[in-house]
Amino acid sequence: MSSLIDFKSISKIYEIGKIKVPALIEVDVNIEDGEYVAIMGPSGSGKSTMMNIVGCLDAPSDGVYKLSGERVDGMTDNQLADIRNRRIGFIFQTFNLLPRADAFHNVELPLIYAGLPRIKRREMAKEALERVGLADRIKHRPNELSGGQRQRVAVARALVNNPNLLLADEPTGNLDSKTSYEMMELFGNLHSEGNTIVIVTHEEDIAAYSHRVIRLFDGKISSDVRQEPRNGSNGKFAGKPEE
Amino acid sequence: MNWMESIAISITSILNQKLRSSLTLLGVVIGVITIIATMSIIKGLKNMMEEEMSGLSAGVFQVQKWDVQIGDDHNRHRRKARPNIGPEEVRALKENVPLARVIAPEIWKWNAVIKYQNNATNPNCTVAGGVPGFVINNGIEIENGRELTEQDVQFARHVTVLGSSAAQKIFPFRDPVGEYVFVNGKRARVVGVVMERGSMFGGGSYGNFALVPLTTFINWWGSERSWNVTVRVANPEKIKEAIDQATVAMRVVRGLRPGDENNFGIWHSDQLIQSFNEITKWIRVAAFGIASISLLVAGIGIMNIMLVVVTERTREIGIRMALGAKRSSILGQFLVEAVILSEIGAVIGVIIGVVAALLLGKAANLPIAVPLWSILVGILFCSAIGVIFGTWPAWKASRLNPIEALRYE
Ligand SMILES: Nc1ncnc2c1ncn2[C@@H]1O[C@H](COP(=O)(O)OP(=O)(O)OP(=O)(O)O)[C@@H](O)[C@H]1O
Ligand SMILES: [Mg+2]
Repeated sequence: MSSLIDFKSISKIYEIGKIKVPALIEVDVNIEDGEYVAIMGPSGSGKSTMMNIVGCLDAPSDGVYKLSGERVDGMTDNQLADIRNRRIGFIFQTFNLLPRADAFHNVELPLIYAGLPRIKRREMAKEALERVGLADRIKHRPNELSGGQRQRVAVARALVNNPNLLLADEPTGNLDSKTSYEMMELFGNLHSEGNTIVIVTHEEDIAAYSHRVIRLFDGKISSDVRQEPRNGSNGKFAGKPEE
Repeated sequence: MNWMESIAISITSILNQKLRSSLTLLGVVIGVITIIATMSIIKGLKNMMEEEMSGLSAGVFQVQKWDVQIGDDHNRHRRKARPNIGPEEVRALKENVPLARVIAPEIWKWNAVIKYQNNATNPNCTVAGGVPGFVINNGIEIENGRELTEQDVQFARHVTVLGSSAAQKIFPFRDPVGEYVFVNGKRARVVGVVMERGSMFGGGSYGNFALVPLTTFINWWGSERSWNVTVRVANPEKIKEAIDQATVAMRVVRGLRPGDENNFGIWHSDQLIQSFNEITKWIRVAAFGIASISLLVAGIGIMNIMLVVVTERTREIGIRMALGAKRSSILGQFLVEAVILSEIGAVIGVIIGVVAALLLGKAANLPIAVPLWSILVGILFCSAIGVIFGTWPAWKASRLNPIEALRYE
């Protein structure tokens, strides 16, 4: 059986004028269905670059990326849009909510692009907002919400179309520690519901919630360790930490 | 993504930028106003003209030397060669147009003077030689006295019927009927006066005017002038057939072979309206020109504003793409926005255009009618402008790279 995420010698090189900036260098990694992975590493080590490639937002300069066994490089723009829409939920550090739309409309967006009818969308968006505990903030715009609430709207939006892969690039980067822990509990629950989760973080105690920590350094994987998660989740991959 | 969504998004975003949007719309509004106001005024003039004509000449047509020509006459030289219409043709028409009830020849002469003692009309008086029926055929009425009679024509009597303004000019204080006047130097007794018509078309021709019997006219001024023949059909609905009969009769008497061009003219009120359309064509062309230029400018404005909008909303586009928007959804969204933007302009233009036309009509006392098609043309034109000038910015938006768009500050 093929992995959910399968990176074979993935490189990403940014060219700024004549200077080539390698952000990822021949990265090989497999992430299975149902894993809860934290990606760590110093600033500029290539974490976001990796996440964007995993999320089909960006294409590698070299190497082969297979998602559920399918090569992504041969796909059309429409197929990629469809994958982002149905199979992946992306949560950004800066939330990336539409500022002029209320919480409900923000959460509804992926469903619009999925072509679902209005009534269905209403139902699903409400449900997703309830799951993140924001049922009473449906009509609020992002600037009428706290940082934690905004991030929860973003999580609801990532969840709403029932993707099997949740990607979060520093989801707690803009949150205080209490809100961060609440967020991690939410992630733990989502993981125990069977979602595959990959999060990028700088913070060791956030990474501690995951079952596996991949560390990047200068565009390469410097360590890849399985661990016992701190609490909350009882996921499928709660195996022994690797040495 | 469905259209309702795109429309909702567009309206919100346009409303968020009211001032900027309204400045952009100015060109669209002006273009549409130009189309609607001009077309309404032309239509109003035409309605008025048709109203005037329908009363006086339903079921009447004229056979004459020249075709009706209003405005420039390019073919004057070529047509010099045409024969005059005279007694031969009148006889042919009388024999071969069974649908006709009246066939009345007329001769016209311009720039005459009518004198009574020391009073004289302006030297641009029109004199007609006619037969009984002239009055009804020309859509005029006798106010005072009588029309020409068969005897007047038969005996070439020296009698005349005066137009109203001619009569007023030379008989300011007394009834002209029974008095002797000089029609271009020929002495004639006034037997009647034409009723004044306060109309815009036609009234002038029968104001400074005198009518004498056809025979008298020929005796006085010779027979080298071409005649006009007024044909009144019994049943106005058969006018087309009657015109066909007359055309055949004329071609036969003129000995024209098939393929030869008619060397005479036949016209009736419909043709006057055609000529009206001829003249107003250029007004319409000019209006469309102005409208096109302002819509073009507006289109460039729309393109410009849409490029700004796309740049401003780069991040939003990135977010939408990250959430699964296809390139076509993005393209559609911005295209719809451009079209809605120009359509808002169109609607405002239609409203102002209609109000302006109605006000103008009131001021100028014209029966203004706003043609429905001008509204449709305005609206369709604007949709086209929105699509044409919205495509490039929308295409640009749809080609953005998702990750770069997300990073855009
Ligand atoms: N669009 C870009 N153009 C040029 N270079 C880029 C671009 N994006 C990233 N880089 C470079 O690639 C490298 C990796 O960047 P990346 O954003 O993946 O780092 P990161 O690990 O996410 O860092 P941080 O923790 O600060 O978010 C950096 O050296 C960065 O300068
Ligand atoms: Mg980063």
